[in-house]
Amino acid sequence: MINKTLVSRAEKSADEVTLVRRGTLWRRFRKSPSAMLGLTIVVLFMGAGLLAPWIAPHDPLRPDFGRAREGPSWDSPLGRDELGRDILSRIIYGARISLWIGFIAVAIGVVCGVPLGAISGYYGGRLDILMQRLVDIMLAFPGLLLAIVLISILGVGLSNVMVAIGVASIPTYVRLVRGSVLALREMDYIAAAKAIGMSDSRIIFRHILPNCLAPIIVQSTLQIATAILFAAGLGFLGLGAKPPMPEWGVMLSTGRDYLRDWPHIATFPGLAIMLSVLGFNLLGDGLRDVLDPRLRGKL
Amino acid sequence: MRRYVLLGLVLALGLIMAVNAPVGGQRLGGKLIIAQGTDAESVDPINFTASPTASIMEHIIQTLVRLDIEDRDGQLETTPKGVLAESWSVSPDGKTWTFKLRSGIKFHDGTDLTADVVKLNLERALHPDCAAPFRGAVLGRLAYSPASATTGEVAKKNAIVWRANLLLGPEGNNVSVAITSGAALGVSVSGSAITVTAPAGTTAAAVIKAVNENAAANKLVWASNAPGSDGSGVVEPVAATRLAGFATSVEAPDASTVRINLASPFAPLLQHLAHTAATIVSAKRIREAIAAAPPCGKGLQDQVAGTGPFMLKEWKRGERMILVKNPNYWEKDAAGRPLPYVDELEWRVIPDDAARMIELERGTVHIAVRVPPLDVPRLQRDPNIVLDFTTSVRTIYIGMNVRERIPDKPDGAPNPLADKRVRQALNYCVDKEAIVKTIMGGQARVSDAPIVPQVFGYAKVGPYPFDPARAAALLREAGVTLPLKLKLHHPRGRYVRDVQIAQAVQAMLGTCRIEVELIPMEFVSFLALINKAPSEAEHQLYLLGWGTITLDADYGLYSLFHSSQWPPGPFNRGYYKNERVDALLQQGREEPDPAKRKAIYAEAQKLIWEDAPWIFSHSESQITGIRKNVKNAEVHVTERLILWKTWLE
Repeated sequence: MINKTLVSRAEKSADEVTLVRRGTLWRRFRKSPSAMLGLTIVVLFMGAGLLAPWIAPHDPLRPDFGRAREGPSWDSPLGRDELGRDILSRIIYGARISLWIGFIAVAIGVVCGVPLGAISGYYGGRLDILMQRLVDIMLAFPGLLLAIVLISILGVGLSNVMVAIGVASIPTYVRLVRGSVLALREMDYIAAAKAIGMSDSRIIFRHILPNCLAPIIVQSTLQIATAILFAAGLGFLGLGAKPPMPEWGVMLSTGRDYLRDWPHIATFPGLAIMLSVLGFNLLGDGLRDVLDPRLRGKL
Repeated sequence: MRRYVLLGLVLALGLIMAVNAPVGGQRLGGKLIIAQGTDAESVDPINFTASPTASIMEHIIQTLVRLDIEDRDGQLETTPKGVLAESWSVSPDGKTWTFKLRSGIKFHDGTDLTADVVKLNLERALHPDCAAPFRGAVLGRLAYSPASATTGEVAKKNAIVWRANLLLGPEGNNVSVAITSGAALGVSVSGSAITVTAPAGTTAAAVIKAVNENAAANKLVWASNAPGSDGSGVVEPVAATRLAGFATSVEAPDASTVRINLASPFAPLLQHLAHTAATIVSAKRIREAIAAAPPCGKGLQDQVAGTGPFMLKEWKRGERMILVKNPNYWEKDAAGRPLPYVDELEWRVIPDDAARMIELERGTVHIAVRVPPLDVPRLQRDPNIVLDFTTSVRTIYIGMNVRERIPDKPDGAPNPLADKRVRQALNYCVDKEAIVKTIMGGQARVSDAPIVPQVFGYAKVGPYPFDPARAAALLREAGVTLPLKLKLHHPRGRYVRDVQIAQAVQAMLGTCRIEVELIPMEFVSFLALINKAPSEAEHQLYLLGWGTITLDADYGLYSLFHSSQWPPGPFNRGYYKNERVDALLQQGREEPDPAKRKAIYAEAQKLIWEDAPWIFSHSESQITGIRKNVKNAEVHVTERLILWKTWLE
């Protein structure tokens, strides 16, 4: 009985601490111009993606062969592509696809990677060695290559791209969380929790993981950028989204053929990829600076 | 007076120089670099399918005849010219062709060209076990005489001891005769296929007896013991009238004479012998290869010895192939000088259109094939590049699987494309003009028949106008639930703008509420996917091209629309069947009178057009980029480059 009250009181105070910190975090975040730029870009793209059906000026799939490869105009600010489809509308709809891939892939990575990392770090021993060797094997592959291998097993398609990129990011999370857990495991309050007979799962999920949250958030933000880039890369190679889907990588790939004479077809999707990746990276960096300054230069 | 003499002298000099210019101005030697989009599949005449391969092969190995082509107001006139054959004659009944070979020709390995070599080559190409891709289309007309293959084979092999796929049944279908060991000796006829089953060790004579005694089989085949053999036999067609154009044998009566015996006259035989699939390889090479892997040979796909102007020196697959000059080449130029002029040909593989053009513009390659039409204006401004526009006889189409079910077996999915109205709707929904204008930059022609106007037998029967309202009405009439979902398999980088065409068709059909899923594939695996029997085929729509390179309607229609030409093997990949069309195409082969043949093909094309087994798209034109310092490079209508009379300045 006493144990329980003690613990719940400790949990409550931890929550209060977070609340207090939140205000200062925002103030610190706001001071960094690059972080704010990142946030702006991310919000812009997310807004475009969410509101795509309302803000896109044209149907992204409807061809207009009479206007194929037309340059930017008032009607089509970014011009028309090789089939006469409006590039701006396609980029807006493309934001939806890219962000969706980013979030789902990261969710897969987090949901699988974080518990595995925590278990590996918390229990240690043979299990840890075994898991870490597996992670070593997976990390030995470049991420994109691993994703391509997974795609060749799962087959081409958008949902498989999400799975492939998500799975490819699992080892990163395992490694990251395990490192944090290894440090936290030796803390006195964990020893105390163990001493009062708290279950392992409760210790991991209530006391260890909340304290690893900062690196996970930072990693996830950066991971979204990687996921968008990978998805575009896979789309470019014809392994991801398929035409006529307005996915940026696919658009870049088809536009490449016209690069010499009609550069706008490939340039704008390319810019969209670059900007969104830049946005998430800046945001991730900014978050890292405010959440966990010790991590600077480590991620 | 002196002035006139001087003027006369100058004129005379000018005349001499003009006449001599091609010879006088040329420089011998050097290396010519050609960029193609795809690598050769093989250099074995029985083991290739695509014209970029043929383009290389024809510099190494040669045919008996080739087609000289002259453009007369859009109608291409073909004149067969002797290559390895010096002359030929045909018997009054049109059934026996006799070819006299050129004397003194040596293969790259030093052996002589004799009639036996030609016979060996043609028989190998006709051998059913070798499954040469063009066997049905080109050489299937010459029946393979199976005597040598069956002799002593029955007892030796255990699984399928003997198989022949070369007979036509009453429906015009292939009849396969297969003897399987294990079961009791018997003959079963299912559809158009005859299966002979026999226990291991059964002699061919026993099998032939069984075939003879089986009433159903007997109608289709006639069997007899081959004279003087060890009880093995030959199965030969009985109804000779149905089997027009099938040669019964290739003979070599003396060293320089080849005789081809046909069961009945076959009008376009010379055109067919000009096909790369009928090229002649050194017998020494073939025998070595066959010894290593009977009956078709092994290793010929990597190295051959031919009689051509160049010899294969080095081949890095997927990268480049280097051919060196054959110092003993038999052909001479008009001035009696030895050919070829250049020392080396290097064929580079550059699949990416943009990259290929950059190499051409930088001058790191001399010739680049398949110039993207939209790059034409830019390249025309380049003073160092000459663009060659030679017509092509290639039709680009989107084929449709027309079976009732996909795959065609009881548990297959119902196929909306089995309904003619749906297929017509697809044709009405695709704006061919837009494809030609937007994607092909105007360098193409909207199809108005399954073959192009330059081909003998062409008749204008189309086009299907772009009419979405009509398409919608037809779809409604056919009772199709919209959106209709279809799959379109297409190659990547094989045809001019193939990926873009597929995407445009997808977008167009999308406006008619037909949702098309694109499945881009590498060309060779794409061909494998659509080369399946209907009971296994999963494809619905497939983008392909067909060059009628014999310039005769037979090659362009029979191979693609006759129901005996269903895969695996032949090229009717949508399993189209119309009995009237079958009969007409058969007639076209047997009819010697050109005017009557034209009428026959016109009717066939009209029926095909109505049945709409394809989305008839467009015909390509060939655009080849050639550096200005390359002289006399010839681009043939059949998409071959001819470079043995080319020189560098």
